[in-house]
Amino acid sequence: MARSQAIAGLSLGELAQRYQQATPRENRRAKGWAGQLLEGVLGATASSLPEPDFQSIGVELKTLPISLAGQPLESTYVCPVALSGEDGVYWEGSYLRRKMARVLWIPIAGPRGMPVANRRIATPLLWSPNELEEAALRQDWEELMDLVTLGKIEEITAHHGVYLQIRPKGANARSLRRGSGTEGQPTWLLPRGFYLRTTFTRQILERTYILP
Amino acid sequence: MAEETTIDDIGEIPRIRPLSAALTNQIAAGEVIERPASVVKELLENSLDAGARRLHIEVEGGGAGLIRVRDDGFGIHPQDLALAVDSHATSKIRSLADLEDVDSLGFRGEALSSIASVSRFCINSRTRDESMGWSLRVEGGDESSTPEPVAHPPGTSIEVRELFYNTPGRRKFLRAEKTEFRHIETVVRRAALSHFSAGFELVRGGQRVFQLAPATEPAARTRRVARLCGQAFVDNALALEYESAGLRLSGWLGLPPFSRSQTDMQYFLVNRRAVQDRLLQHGVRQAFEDLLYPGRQPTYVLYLELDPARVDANVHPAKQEVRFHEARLVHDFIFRSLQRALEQSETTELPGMNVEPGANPPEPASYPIHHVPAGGKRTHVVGPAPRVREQLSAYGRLHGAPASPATEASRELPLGRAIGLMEGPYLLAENRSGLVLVDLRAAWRRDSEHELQAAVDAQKLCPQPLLLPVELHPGASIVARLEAEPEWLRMLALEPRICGPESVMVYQLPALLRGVSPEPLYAELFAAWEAGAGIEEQLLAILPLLARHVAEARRLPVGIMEMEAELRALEATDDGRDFWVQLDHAALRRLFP
Repeated sequence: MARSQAIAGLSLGELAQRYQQATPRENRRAKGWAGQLLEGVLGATASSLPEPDFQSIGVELKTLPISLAGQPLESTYVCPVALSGEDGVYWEGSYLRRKMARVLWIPIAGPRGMPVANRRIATPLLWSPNELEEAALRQDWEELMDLVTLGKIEEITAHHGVYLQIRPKGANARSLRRGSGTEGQPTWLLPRGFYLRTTFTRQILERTYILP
Repeated sequence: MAEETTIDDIGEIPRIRPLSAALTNQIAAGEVIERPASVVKELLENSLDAGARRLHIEVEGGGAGLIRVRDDGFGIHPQDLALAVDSHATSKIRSLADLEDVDSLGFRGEALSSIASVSRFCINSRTRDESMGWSLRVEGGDESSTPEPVAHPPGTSIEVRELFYNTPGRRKFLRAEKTEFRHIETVVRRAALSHFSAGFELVRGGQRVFQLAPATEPAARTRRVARLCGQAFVDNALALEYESAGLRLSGWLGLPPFSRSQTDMQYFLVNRRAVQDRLLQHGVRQAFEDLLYPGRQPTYVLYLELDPARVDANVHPAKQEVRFHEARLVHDFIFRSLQRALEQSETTELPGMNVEPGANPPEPASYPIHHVPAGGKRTHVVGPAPRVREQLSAYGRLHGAPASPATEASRELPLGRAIGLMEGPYLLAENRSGLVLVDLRAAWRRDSEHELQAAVDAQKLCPQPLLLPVELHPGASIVARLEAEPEWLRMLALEPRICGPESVMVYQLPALLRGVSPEPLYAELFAAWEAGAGIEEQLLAILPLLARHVAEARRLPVGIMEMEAELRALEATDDGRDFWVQLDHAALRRLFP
């Protein structure tokens, strides 16, 4: 936490320089670069494993792109959706809940299209969902997982869920995973991920910070 | 691993047998009777279908001990009494064709038999033509007696004791008594909101929870809604009525500022049946669009009426969902009607603004729905098709009918009714003695200074982090002084951190300074510091400075409703400091001699 405090206010470029990392020149190739840079700087270990990033303290690191006015720009990817339902039938045991139990949010400020290196690191926040937030996430998760388990995944659009949404995640339409179809038959599906809507992250920011 | 059963293991092939009537009923009860509240719901529906005008509901032990529903409906014919507790026996429909066109609340003919199969059940009934009533007892689905004569007023009373006594599995799912009772109360509320012509009395453990007289007059209906949903809801709701293409939508729609964090004030009644239908909920929510903060729930009591043939209630065992034959048409009708109502309410303000949770609603003068002001001018708008008839509490005020109760009430308000915002921060209002001019910035400055002073005195000035830390370059001398005497800013929860010989980084501001931008604030602070007085004098001067920044950062009210709210808030804290002037009638006359 102290380490994350210390880097607030810097730009990503300055940070990369300080740690002698190359900065990407193009945004298009820089997807995930900010996250990886910060993981490295802050000493995260789990990378993309189904474990919180800082394994020993159970904290997940999430960068959050925001506008200069403090509005989240994108929904936040949380974890993959287990298509065949092997990921805990109960919320208590779900992978999503474990990931979201304790999150170190690091907002990164900069308008869309600004070179990544020029974006600035905002004040970090070590966060856990409060009762209401957890209840809301749980409700969404249960509703969405009901659909997934019953094989209605193709019917799920990004409109489902109040705060959580399920969207396709994957390099392209050819990377398929096994899941179950409407009749319970196994089918090949596009991998999906759970995303947090910006409405959710915006609430967190608005409650915590003085926005610019 | 469990051993698999193979054909060889089975000595005898299990034979198929019909289930006993009691068991089938118990299985059906599993669907229909989920908890005590479901019993109450079914019994109330029966009573209402029997044309009851007065319903008396008595509950003990959260409904698991006793539920008694007494009505003055048309009763059950003595010969039908035994049939009434038989499954799939009903007086409500006779053929499949009737099912297409159900206008009663119940129709399946399974409620009583299901309830009787999982409780100690007693039904007493007397029709208007009989001279005495008949009573029948059923325990766990077994009729232990034949009907016996009993003294009973016309109508039916049903007593359900020890619900689920013979289905321990079900009993385990019962929640705390309080929870179960809350569900029962919700059911009774819904029934009371759907049948205004009937009177309801709910008694819990011998104590009356509420009693509602039959409400036939519009004003009495409004009173009932106020009784069930709170006066604040009625004061902050639009009464509306729309009709189009055989669909009729009426009821009350809470204005955006009167939203809730839970969905507990949402009543949708389709042909007087309370439903929780996703399609309808979706239509309502969509009408609010961005008028509600994410996570806030709209409040409403809405009635949709349409030809029963166009809606199928036979979808859900407890009939909580319905299916419309023209689902998209219904959705669109609801969405557009409500959107229009909200637009016409002219509440373009952002929701929740200036309305602190728990604060009094900004509008103290409530206005009876369908009220016709003394001038005889109806406050409804009657528009072209779809026919629009609506009226809102703010409406009468905007049109300022001279002798209406709203203006009557305004006479007691010191700052009066808002008229509009003038160039600059001046708010123009009118009270009994004439015109009032309020300097909003001055008023806010005063409020903010009080708040800050109180927080400093109590040493409770909490910092709040800035989302984007701000780097300042005040120069070497200031940085050096900050290093030497850091405590004076720390007292104000202003703690810039030194990050270079000439620069500091600001990570936080006091939460009370929300909205203030740090750069100009610090520029002034440092300038004042440089002018160089001692810490004590600094502190005296610094609070007004902070307060001025807060007042300047505040957004001016938009729309009459926000202005009103602002005036009421200022009245509440008025300490006589001059932030407003009165231009009384005499002064106005002098202007034009």
